[in-house]
Amino acid sequence: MAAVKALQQWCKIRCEGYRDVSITNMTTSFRDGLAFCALIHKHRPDLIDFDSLNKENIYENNQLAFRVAEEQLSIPALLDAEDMVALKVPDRLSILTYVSQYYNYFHGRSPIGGLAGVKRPAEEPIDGTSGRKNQPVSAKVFSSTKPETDTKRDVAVERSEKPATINRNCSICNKQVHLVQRHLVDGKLYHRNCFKCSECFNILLSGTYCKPGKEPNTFICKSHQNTQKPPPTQVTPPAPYSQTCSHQHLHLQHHFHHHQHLHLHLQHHLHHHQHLHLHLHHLHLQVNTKPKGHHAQEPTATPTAAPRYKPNTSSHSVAVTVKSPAEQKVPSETPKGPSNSVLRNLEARQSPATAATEKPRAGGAGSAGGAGKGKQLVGVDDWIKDKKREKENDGEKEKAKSVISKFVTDETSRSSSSPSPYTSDAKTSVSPIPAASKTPKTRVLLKPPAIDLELSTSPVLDKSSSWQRSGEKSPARADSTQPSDSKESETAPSDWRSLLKPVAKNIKSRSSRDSTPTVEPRTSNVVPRPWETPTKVSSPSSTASQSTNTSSTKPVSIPSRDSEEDPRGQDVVKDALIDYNVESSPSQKPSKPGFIPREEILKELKEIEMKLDDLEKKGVDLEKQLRQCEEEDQEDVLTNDLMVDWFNLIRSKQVFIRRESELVYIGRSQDLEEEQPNVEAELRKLMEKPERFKTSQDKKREEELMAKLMEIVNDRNAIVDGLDEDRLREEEEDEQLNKMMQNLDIKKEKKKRSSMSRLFSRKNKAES
Amino acid sequence: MAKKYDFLFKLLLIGDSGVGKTCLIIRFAEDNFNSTYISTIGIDFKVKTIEVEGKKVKLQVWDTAGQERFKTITTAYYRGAMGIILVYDITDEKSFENIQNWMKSIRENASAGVSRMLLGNKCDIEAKRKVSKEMGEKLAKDHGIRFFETSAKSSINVEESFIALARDILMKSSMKQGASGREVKLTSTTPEKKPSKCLLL
Repeated sequence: MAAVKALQQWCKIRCEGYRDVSITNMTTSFRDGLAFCALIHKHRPDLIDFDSLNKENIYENNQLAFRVAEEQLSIPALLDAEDMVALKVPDRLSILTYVSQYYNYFHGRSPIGGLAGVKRPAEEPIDGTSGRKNQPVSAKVFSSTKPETDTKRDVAVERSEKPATINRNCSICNKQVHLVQRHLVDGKLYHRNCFKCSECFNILLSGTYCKPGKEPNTFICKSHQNTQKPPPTQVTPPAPYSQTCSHQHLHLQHHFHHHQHLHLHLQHHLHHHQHLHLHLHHLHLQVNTKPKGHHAQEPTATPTAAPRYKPNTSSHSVAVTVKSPAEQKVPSETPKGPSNSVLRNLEARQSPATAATEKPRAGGAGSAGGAGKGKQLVGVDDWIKDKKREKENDGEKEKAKSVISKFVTDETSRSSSSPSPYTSDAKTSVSPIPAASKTPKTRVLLKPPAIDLELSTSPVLDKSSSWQRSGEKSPARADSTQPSDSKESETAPSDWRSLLKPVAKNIKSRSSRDSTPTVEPRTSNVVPRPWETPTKVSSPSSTASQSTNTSSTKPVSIPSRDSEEDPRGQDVVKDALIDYNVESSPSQKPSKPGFIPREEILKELKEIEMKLDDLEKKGVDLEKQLRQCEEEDQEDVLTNDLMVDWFNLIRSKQVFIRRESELVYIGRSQDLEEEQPNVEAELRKLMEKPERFKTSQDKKREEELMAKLMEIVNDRNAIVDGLDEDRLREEEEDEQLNKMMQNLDIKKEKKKRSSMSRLFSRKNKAES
Repeated sequence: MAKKYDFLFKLLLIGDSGVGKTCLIIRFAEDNFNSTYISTIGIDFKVKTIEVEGKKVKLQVWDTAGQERFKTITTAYYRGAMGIILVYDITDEKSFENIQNWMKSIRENASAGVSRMLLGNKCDIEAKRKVSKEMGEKLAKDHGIRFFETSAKSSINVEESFIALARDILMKSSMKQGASGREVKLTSTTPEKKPSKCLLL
């Protein structure tokens, strides 16, 4: 077993001198997780505070290593910390494979997995530093609040229901997941190719999935994310969250980056939302990890979930606090207290699963959403055209604007100022049963026409949201939870049903839009609000309070103000579009050399997909053979060759996955380039406005846009850098490969060779 | 595909507002020209891969706003640049005089060994010329840097100048290569502070 010996030897040498770490085998020596931590610490002492670790904390040590390796080194967590606790003797092949990734990484090779693509972009450094900085604190928090025994017990409980083997089953198809197919997402195991978009059933590549789908256990790919922007339900930032967020943000950065390229227009604003719903998605997963239908178990699960992230960093510990109450509440369905909104979100996502009707509904909703989207887009186009025409006809643009917008805002305000009738109507008509059945609809309804996105980022909405808020203060408050989206984020979380309000409204407005184009502006105003508000919340509330004041003192002035603002937002959209079409805007994509049409990207991704499938099939066979050899204690040569094949296969897979992530990069970059001119156009417009005429809203908006623009540019730059990093790593590969083969001391057997070279030739093809 | 190159160089264009930085970049990267003036907001970049000395060099060309108000934003990007292109407008004396200020800004903000180059743009508008070619040449010579008179509009010397600068950087980096080992960053740093990895290749 020279290959294995070499690897073991490598580990042994690297772990020398580390307290409580002694590598004598490739199983139990790793169980307490200290060896992984030591390996990481040896190469990246900045990532782990080894001295603070205790070998008794099996779960925490492993979790720390897996997480750090995944987030900082892009080494996907093949292993699950829970398994390490549950299995007295960890699975050897899994350990070997996982450690080989460390080996690959620290020897200048790329880690397996396209997660590299996920985490790299711009803000990563923040992630790293703050994460590290806070680590000790959170570790403390953990030990004091959650005795580890809890963790263990819970883990054990959970384990006991499943076969105590590391080859657990796929969360989706429930079949065994072989090592080569492992795809761990937030602690859940999937077959890589079971991890599909719930909309289009394409496999979700690392970097392309964004968020949980309508049902638990589902995710949605970027193309659908485009059409299905984060529904307000998910986005709604509950008050407790908005604080959590900022921390969470750091941690989920890599996830968050998935999202980025998906939101062409909302990028900046979605920041908060994005990690918010990521966060939710976390929660969600936590919940779902537990056996479905056993609600009673979920609360029990909570402690498990909590410690799982505890040892990591403060951000996680923060998350935990939110998390646990939320989860506990899920079963009870009587959300109250600080994490109401969290819960709400959870429920929203969960409910479909529980409701029997949910499946068809979701499906129907999906298609409806698709259709709706089309309609909306068309409508928007028309609307833009209308607007254009108007613009042409009317010399006094501003005037026209204000007129239109007055109408718009009047409509809007009317609809939102009388929220209770609206919503209750909708509610009853749609279904008296709350969240469960409705949530999916919400999502669909809120599928984002591009315009909505634009609008939501426009000052108007700030306005309207604050206006709403002032409305809340009025008597209507009690039942008019409608504006709650904005309210709850600021004030205490309100009834979770408030979530449904936007739905109801949208249902209305959508139907009306379909029939009467004139109403459209209103709709588009209404729709985005939920997103806007969250942004508000997280931002300094100066404007909010200010506008609230205004509104309460001079109610009349608000609409008019709005009317001034509203059209601007819309105008900008229009202008942006015009710019884009008429002027040869600098970053106009199509003319750009090197531009890869989306279809081509998709096509290549598809090809890679097939190759990966192929590799995985081989990998499954290999694994079986390897395990058989192990059992039968076969002689070294054969096993060693198999092992060499195995390592190479893992590496080939990684090559494909890297190309995959490169393609994702490219696509994202192109999307960003597409987005940039729009942001720029809006910003330009604001900047052209004479300083003295600028309202504080304008100024704030200008700042936001500026930041957003910079962010887009920086993200694009991060992609350039990311691609370059990949390139540098890959450069070493051939050389490294040869080295590895030597290290492994290959003993010939041409038969095996040939299969291997086949793999490589494929790899080369892919690279060229 | 996107990775098929041997080096990544980051270039940065600076100079007064309106001298034609953006137009130069668009001409270079997209071979296009638009005579309407659109001031750059903050910063932007374009990427083009060229061939220099048989090597594929991916140039990431950063465009900066010339306006004073964006100064803080733009100067943050100096540091990551391996080459900085100073641009003035041959029909605008002031922009030429200001080159000294831009030079100062480089000294203050850019990394020490950055390659520089001076471009006198808009050389197609000979009739309005205010800065003679000799003056430009002299200034460049004083600083020991390359000089070209260019026209983004007429596509004069644009590609030539970029390639020349890229070649300078390539030479510099191949000289350096022996001294410092290659460094692969495992974690990325902020874009503007990122040391020029490729340079060390």
